[in-house]
Amino acid sequence: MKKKLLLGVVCLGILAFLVGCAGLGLKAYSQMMLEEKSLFLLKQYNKVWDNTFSQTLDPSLTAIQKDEIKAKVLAGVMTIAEVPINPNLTPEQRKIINAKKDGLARLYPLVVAFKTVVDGGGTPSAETEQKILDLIDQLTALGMGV
Amino acid sequence: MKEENPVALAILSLSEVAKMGLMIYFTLSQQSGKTEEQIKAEIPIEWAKFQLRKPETIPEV
Repeated sequence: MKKKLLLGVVCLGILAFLVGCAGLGLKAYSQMMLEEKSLFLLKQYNKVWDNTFSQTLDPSLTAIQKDEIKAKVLAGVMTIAEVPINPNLTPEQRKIINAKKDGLARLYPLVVAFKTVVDGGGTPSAETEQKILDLIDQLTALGMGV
Repeated sequence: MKEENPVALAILSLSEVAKMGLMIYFTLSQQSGKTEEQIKAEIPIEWAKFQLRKPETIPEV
């Protein structure tokens, strides 16, 4: 009896998940059109950038101050030398942040190239796409270290 | 009268739930899904909203 009940609950859970996904219009990456993929990759890249940038900041700053600093740096009104860095970063944390920065530098041209090819009506190579996805995975995994 | 097997009954009812779920899923996907043209038209607007951030804007640590 318990097993049946459990099976029923699992089925209903799957049903609710499917309905939720359909309602939100979520798609699996493999089902996306190239244009959607390029936007998805851009958002993933920016997420890693955002996360890395936040990790460098002084934790005593408020969320609003952090957002202001980010906006100023992106707008070019503040140089990165003026950004208040977290003074308590350990050498290991610095290493991780620098690795993420290097990874972003490798990822940036690939995401731009992907978009350029898609915008031109072409199809980026599966190799480039895989390289981007692998790099995003690696960088996201590094994010857990700080 | 032959007694129904409870396990078989459970499997049957679960398969009905699964069938119903798939029907709802496909109906909703079609209703909420945008056409390929609509998505393609929206992408440049979305791209403009999310400019790619340059790696050199991450501070040196």
